[in-house]
Amino acid sequence: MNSLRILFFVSLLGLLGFTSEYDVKPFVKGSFLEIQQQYVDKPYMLLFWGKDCAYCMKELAMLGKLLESYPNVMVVTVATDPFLESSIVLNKMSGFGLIQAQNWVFADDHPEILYFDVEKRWRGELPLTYLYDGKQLISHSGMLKKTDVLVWLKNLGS
Amino acid sequence: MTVNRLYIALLLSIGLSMNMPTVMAGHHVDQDKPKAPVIYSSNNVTSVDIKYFDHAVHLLLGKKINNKDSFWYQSSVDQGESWSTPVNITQGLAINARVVRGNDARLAVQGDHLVAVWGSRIENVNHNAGPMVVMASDDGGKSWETIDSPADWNGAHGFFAMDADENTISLTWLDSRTKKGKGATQGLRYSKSIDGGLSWSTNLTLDERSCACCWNTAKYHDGQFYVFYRDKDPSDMTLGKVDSEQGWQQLSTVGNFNWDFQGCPHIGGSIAFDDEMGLIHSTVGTGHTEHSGTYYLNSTDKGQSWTEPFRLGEDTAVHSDLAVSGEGEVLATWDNITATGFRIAYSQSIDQGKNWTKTVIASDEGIRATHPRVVAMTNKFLLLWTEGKAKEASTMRMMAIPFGQ
Repeated sequence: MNSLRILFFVSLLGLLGFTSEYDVKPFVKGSFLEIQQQYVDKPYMLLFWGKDCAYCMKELAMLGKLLESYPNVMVVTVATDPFLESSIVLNKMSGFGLIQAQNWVFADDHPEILYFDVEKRWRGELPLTYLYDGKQLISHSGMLKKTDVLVWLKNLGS
Repeated sequence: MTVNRLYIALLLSIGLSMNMPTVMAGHHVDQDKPKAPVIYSSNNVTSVDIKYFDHAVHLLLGKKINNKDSFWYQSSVDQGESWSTPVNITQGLAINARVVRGNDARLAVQGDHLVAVWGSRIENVNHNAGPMVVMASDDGGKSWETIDSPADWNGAHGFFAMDADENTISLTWLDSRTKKGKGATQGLRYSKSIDGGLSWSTNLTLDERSCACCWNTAKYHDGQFYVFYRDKDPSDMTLGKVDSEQGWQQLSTVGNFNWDFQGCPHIGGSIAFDDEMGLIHSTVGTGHTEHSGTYYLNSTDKGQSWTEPFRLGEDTAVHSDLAVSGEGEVLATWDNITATGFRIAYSQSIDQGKNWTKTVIASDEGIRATHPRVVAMTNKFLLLWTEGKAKEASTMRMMAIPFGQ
């Protein structure tokens, strides 16, 4: 049953990909590693968020604004609400100025399997952010402070 | 077109390959005794609350059937072996409930007076969250009617905890009528009724700033309403009590983990009173990087101070509950995340939490069993949980565990 659901979801996303300029990728077991391998030499920010997480909304808004001045930093977002509609994800990201980010959505009815795959001790607390400067991947549980993000961004240029 | 087809085929194959069954290495479980059988199940469940009062178990289930919300009450007078016919307390009402495990509807029992409360769902408002809905019965749950809201602020309410003694029904919940501090803020509110829910007191704010999304626990003991909630700055669990004069006293932090977390943990804790030994037993969860997991603690001085936290199960344990029998036997239960999803575990102690039995896994593997609850009855514990997909209606399972096993 789960296979059918993912199959349908993936098909739907694939089809949407041809009608929309932006797509939302299904985040499954292994996707976290795939993202890391994709940006092995490039700095990026990876944000896990949830639609009912007010702190996530604040962090996304803050980052959207800050990153206007850093267009070269790649942004990856992952919605942790299983199978959240692509239109909701893209509308949210559009509102935060992050429509050009690489956007993903949890595609498993058991989200904790994905938590476990990302970080064994992660129990779904949100927001969860990863910062990669091209060398080191660091995680931050809870809302990031603007000053810390600015320091991280400035250090990228040094 | 050819490229489109190739792209679709690629996506389909990725989707399929990502969902291939994973061959798991053998998982060692500290399980010395056979798992007790499931004695009762119920489908389409969105919310669970259970109370044991006057030798009867009272169960309130939220359900989503054909995409419609409803709430059902039933009881058992033979320790969960048989159950009354479920009463749809919302029969004939068009309700839209915002309930999920961890933000469940709650039940209070005061003799034949019963009160049920849950949050309403309103589309296209922040978090789709609306005001509370409260219903009451004065004939032991046979008939129900909507009663006035205890809240004197008509915004969104949630994360309810409710209990009753012979004189008073007390309710606590979270709402954001006042916003204090940074981030998403909710405050802990309180109201009480001394007439079986017909009228409610002016609301009292117990804490202006609490976790915005964590479940609360509340229990009456010796005429005082104990409230157990997750605080802010740091995000550790706090115990306080409201006395009969509506005076609030914050007693202590339970588990000083100093968890500095600006976000949504969705984790609370539990308390249980042992009259014989004069103890308060507790479980708390924390996501602190160095202490992640669920812990047991107890207090011998009415919640002023606590023992050192004792970790229950693995560091991936999340939601917990506990109950204590009349003879002082404690059963603590929790769910924990594994590579195949959530599962239910429990452990027992017959010496006031000094020693614990090996962990027993109560649920089957790979079925997403979460949010366990437990009550102590006359000579058994009743353990229940839900299993199913995230944020969808699930199946409630129930297991009876005799004392001394």
